[in-house]
Amino acid sequence: MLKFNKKKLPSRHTSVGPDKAPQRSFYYAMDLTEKDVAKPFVGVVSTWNEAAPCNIALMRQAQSVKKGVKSNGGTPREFCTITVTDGIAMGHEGMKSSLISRDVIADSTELTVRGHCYDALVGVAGCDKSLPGLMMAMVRLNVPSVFIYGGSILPGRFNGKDVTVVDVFEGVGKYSSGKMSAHALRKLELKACPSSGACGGQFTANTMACVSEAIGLALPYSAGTPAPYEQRDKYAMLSGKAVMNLLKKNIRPRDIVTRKALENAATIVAATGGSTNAALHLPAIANEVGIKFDLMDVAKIFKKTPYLADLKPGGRYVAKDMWQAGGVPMLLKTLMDGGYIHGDCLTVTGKTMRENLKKVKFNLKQKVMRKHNNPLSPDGGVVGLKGNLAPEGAIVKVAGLKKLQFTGRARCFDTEEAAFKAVQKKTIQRWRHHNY
Amino acid sequence: MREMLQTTGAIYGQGKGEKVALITDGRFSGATRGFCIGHVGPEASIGGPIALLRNGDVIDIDAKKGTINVRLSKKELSKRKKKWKPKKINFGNGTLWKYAQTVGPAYLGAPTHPGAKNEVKVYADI
Repeated sequence: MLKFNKKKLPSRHTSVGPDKAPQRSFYYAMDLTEKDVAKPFVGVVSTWNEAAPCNIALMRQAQSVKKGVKSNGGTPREFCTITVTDGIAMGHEGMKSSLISRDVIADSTELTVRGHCYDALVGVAGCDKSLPGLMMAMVRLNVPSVFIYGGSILPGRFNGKDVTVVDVFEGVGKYSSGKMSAHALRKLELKACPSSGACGGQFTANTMACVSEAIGLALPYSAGTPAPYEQRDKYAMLSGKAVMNLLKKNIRPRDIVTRKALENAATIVAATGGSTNAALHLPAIANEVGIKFDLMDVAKIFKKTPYLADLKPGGRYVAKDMWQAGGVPMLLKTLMDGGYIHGDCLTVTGKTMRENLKKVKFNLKQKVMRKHNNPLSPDGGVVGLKGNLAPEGAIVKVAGLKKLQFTGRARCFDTEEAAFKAVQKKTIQRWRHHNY
Repeated sequence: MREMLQTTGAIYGQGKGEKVALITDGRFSGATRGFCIGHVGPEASIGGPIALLRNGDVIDIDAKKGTINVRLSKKELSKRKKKWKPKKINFGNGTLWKYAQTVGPAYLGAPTHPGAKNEVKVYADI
């Protein structure tokens, strides 16, 4: 077990010396011993709540994080923060709360850590905004930190195929165009989401989970195991242990999140055909370090990165399949072999990316991930666009698209609701016009 | 900056994923499929070119070259810009109002504070 001197740590302000007797009284009221109070305080933040299956398994995992912290010389202090879950906020005014929640998650975590002077931080997150939100807080506070994803949902099974919640969203479209019966839609909605965990395709949560390993803030393999599997709690426990090592060595998030690490993060997004939201979240994480890494910087990486992982929505497989095929480290390894990943970036293991990946071998007996020299397509699944319609830039996900060019006539809507209504009423047709 | 899975999902579900392109200054779910362009900046609420579009304008998107253009002259765009008026915001109070006061552009990640470049002292060193 590691030993620490609290005299230089933030928590000396709340637990060391005669002046802090009242604060210590509070800690004794919460089953801590004098020995516990003399150890570093480690914030263990999860975005646990009952808003959605993404977050429902996080408190369980936070308990394992705490075991790891305790076993390695720290005293964990657990807290929860909010989430806004896009799966439920989608398609109505509630969606306006979604992106804002990312910054509230970061701000609320910052305030809890600042207010109580915690010395280190482990974050457990399971939903689109909570992953970047917690990573932003870690970099902003710059106390030794480890991130761990809460894990993906298991796929549902419908008509002999694996399905996710996206099949249900698209089922709504099929139903409105008469391609699916109300009965089938009901059956699909009952089967699509069989467990806890974040949406199963390479959507924003899984994209940012891959980022957490690629950027170096999460332990190798910690992103992979699905949420309901208790196997994943081992990684939670190890994350708690790891943060104590980082505290001992004084390795901080800004030692890890460098420009090269951000490039590694963008690389894995492209290689997995990941979410366009990463092009919003990576610049925001960069802002916390004070590095300018904007949409077009992300797009530049996307342009030169081979698309290797055949994941939904563009491809065939879900996060669970990627985990069984070899996980994020296997993809990072082949990307590094191809020269797409900076191997000299420091990570939360205390070692570099190259050292972490040293023993990883590519599994050829799987279909989820390709080798760097045999890509699904030679460039990334997401492309940056610029022009007179978007002078500051725009983004398009091309993974899974057959055509890369498009010309059309505008139909303008001021709100999403109006656009959705028009789509539902099937008034949107390709405008046949021989002028283009 | 809303996420638009409901609309993109419905377009895709109708089998028009590659026949209809959706262009927005909002964003998409990672689950979005089809020809969907997001994060268009500057955004409509501050009078970006996307706010100046009218029904029937011809738009060319080329994801190979990385371009998105509307077939309108600079002159026409600036003429429309002069006539443009901002839409009234639905939120005059609460956290949505607060957010609108601080949020930066999408291409910088929609940050709500100046970031480490303005930092005086990092928390970890208190």
